[in-house]
Parts: sequence; structure tokens; C-alpha cells
Amino acid sequence: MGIAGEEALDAVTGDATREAFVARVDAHGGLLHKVARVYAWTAADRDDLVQDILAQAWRAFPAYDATRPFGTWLYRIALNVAISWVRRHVPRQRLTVPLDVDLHDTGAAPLETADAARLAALTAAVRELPPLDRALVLLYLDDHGHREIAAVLGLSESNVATKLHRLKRRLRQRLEAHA
Amino acid sequence: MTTSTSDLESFKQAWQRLDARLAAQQALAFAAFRDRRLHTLRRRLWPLYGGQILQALFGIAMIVLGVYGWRRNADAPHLVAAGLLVQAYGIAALASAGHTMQRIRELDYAAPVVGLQRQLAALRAWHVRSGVWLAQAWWFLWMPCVMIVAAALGVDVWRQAPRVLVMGTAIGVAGVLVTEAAARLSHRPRWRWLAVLNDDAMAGASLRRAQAVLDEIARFEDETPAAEA
Repeated sequence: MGIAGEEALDAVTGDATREAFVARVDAHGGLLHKVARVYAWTAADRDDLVQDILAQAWRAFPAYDATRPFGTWLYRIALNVAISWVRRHVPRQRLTVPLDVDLHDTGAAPLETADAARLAALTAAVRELPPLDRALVLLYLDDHGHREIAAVLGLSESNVATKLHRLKRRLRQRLEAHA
Repeated sequence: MTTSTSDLESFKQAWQRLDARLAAQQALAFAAFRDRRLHTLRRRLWPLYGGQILQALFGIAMIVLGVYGWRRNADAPHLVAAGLLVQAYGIAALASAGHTMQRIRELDYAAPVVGLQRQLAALRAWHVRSGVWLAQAWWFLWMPCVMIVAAALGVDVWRQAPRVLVMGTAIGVAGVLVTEAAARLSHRPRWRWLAVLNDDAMAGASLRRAQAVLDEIARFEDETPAAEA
């Protein structure tokens, strides 16, 4: 669908469609922000990336097949947009010092110290991985099974198992290095 | 902090506890939808098409110039040839932009990650290569353009200043040969410094990046249990 067609879609889709979309995305908790967290360093970049993901998801929403899991659909879009985003912004990210990862911009209650330390170390370790490996680890951390990870990434389950085994070992080494 | 398997599990649990915390950020992101500011999101997709629309408009302008050249000078074979060349270039530029836009439209971001990333990298490689071909053509294309514009002003460059075309052709041939030689030599370690010049002139760095991404995806996809062992 071209941009003009999408503008037309905006005109004809009412509040109900928009609210249905928001409700479905909302039901998946902080998925978009978790993805943004491991692909974008600064708060401004993360906001930018989340808006890009929402734009692509809204664009693709009319073609969403409601008989399939929304989470898998949304994860694919979020990861595809995030990986494309990171490839465009690699030179800038290299020059950017990552901010303190203690979720400084949520306005929510402070994290427990132990959780904050774990998250800081984990985020730093995951960010060191190549973009596709990062996607796999992200799905693992969100407790998705091999079958679902394979469906999101487009790999075989055995390939996912092999990669995950290797990545977990690598992650442990990096977490120890960060400790 | 030691990190055993169970520790990794505690990291995983800490990660999952982020969900509730990130809900506040997500609510802010949805404000655009609730405020009906969809057009601002639409604009985020425009950069994908913007460059292609400009190239298509440029192609149309070249077609108009070419057609003008051969129709207005139908009795001068060299100007007919010049017009046809410019027209052919315009069609190539327009077709290339159309093809790229079609491939952009076909991108399905809800497709499995590895497949879509491969599609994007292949599209990037095609975009850079076609851009290089269209740019290289200008080593020669300026001559028929000048001939058509000069003819409109009453000057026949072919008859009145043929040396301009002879020298232009010689410079064009030399330019293409030097650029090609630099492209080949820059792959050798001793001539690596040429790669910097070449990258600036021919978008070689972009092409290499696109190819590197394709290679990275192939490695990611091909890793098998046997490879792990």
C-alpha cells in the first residue's frame, strides 16, 4: 500500500480501529520499549524508535490475520524496525555514550537495587551483541519458547536451540566481565 | 557477581519485571494515536520514498529533454541520436526509481525477521548499484544534454565545436577507466587508501555495508548444530 493509500486508510478507519490497535499493543506490556532499550542508547533515540515501530505496526495492522498470535506479529515488526533502525544509526551510536540504564525516564518508582544492577549489567551485555543475536536474546529473556522464537525470526527450531545455547554461554561470560 | 545458569535465570526474571514499569512509557507513546496525530507517524515513512520520487521526477525531466531534442531536430541525425540517448537515460532513471519504490512497497515488516532483513539488505545493494550506474553515465551524458540545449539556442555543437565532444569523450573514457581501476585496486591491501576516495565517489562504502549485512544474515541463518560442535 502506498503512502496515499495509507492516508486514505487513516481517513476511513475510525476511533474503534485505532482503539482496537492500541488495546492489542497495550496488552503486550512494555514490549516496544524493551526492544527499544536494547537497540537505542539514549532516551530520545528510544522514543524515536518506538514511534517508528508504531508507525510500521499501524501501517501493517489492516493486513493482520486475527487468527494468528498478535504477540508474534508485533514482535516481528518491532524487531524488523529496530534492526533496520540500528543499521541506519550505527555510526551515530558508536559515537554515543550509553546513558545510565536505570530507567531514568519512566517516572515510576525506583527499581530495587539488585534488579537495577542486574538490568544495567544485562542491558550492557546484550547491547554488545550483533543486531540479530540481540533479537534472539530478547525473545529468550521474554520467556518465549523455541517454536515461537523460530516463528518470529524465520529460523528452524534446532537452529534456535543451537544459537541460544551459544548465546547464553556468551552472555554469562559478558555478565561476569561486567560484574 | 558470579554468573551461573541460575544467575542467568535471575537476570531473566529481573528483565520480565520491567513490563509493569515500562507501561507508563508505552502510554505516552500511544498519545499520538489518541490525539489523532497519525499524519506525524505517516511522515516517518516518507524518507523511504522521498529520494525515489525525486529520482523519478528527474527521469521524467530527462525524458522530456530527450524527446524535445529529437522531435525538434528531426533533420539532424546527431541531434536525434543525442535526444534518444537522453531519453533512454531518463527511462532508465524512472524505471530504476519505480522498481525501487515497488520493492519498498512489497516490504512486509510483519514477515519473519531474517527474511525481511535479507530483503532490505538486497534492496540497499540494488539501490546503491543502480545509483552508481546512473551516476557513471554522466561522464558522457552531459554531452548530448549540452548538444540539445545548445541547439535550442541556435548553436550546433557537433558542427561548430566538435573538439568539445572529442575531448569530452576522451575525458569520459579516461574517467570511467580510472574509476574502474580504482575500484579494483582498492581491494588490494597496498592500495587500500584508494578505497577512501572510491567510497566517496562511488558509494562503495554503502555497497560494502549492504553486502556485509547480507553476509551477516547468511551466517546467522546457516549456523547449524554441526557448526556449533
